[in-house]
Amino acid sequence: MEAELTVCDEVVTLVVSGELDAYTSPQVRDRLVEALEQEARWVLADLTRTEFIDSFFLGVLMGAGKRAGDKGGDITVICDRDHLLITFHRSGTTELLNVVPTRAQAEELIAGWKSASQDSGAECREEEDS
Amino acid sequence: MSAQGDRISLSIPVSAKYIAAARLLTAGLAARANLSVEAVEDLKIAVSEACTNVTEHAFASEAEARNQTIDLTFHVANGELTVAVEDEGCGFDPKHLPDMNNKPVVNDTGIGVYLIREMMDEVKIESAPGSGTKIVMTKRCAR
Repeated sequence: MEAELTVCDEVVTLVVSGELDAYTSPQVRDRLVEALEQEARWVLADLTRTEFIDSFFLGVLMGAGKRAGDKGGDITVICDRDHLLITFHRSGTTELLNVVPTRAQAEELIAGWKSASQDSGAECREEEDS
Repeated sequence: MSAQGDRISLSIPVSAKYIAAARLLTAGLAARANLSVEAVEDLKIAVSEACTNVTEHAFASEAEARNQTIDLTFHVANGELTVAVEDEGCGFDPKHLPDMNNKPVVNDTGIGVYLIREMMDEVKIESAPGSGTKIVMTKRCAR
């Protein structure tokens, strides 16, 4: 398993290749948690090069989504592999994790969330000002 | 392959480190059983979940798990693969497993068993508190 993790403009982007199970997932979890404890509040997990996931890794993604949500953020997962999509579907996590097939769709989702977040922040500030 | 099918065994330490080896053997044997690519993937997940349940829940501590094994027995027949995953851990009352009509949320202990049941054609779970656990799973070719 190889994981690349970058943080830019409050978005932590995770690109993982190989297999994610109870042995390899904790390494990814720890790095995601660290990023979300610092600057990041949006999560983009790119699984287009991932060959295997199980419920342990789904738990890691759900945990990251929860942490992001606690900071007013959210998570999206890029996945275009049928056998992984089945796991998301059967575990009922496709919608919860905002699974989309392309990087463009994931980035669009995050841009929309960010924009909505800034708008609501502006509204709050306006309310405070009035 | 004999007319009755072949039996293959694998024992791995109770450690997440070796679950990938169990998946690898599962994939190879499922291909020998002439199962579809989709069925092979389902089997890999089911075996992985069963082994992860052992490493995560069967023993109270790493010290207790030391020198223990996860014993996998595969029965390979044409168009069918049966896998038994067995441990001598703490066991549990199968009555406490989640109802298939109530999908557990991810992070609940029942999600692994739920996925196994979703992906396999037949699943039998034998367990009792203090008596270890044996889960027997069968995947068949779609007819």
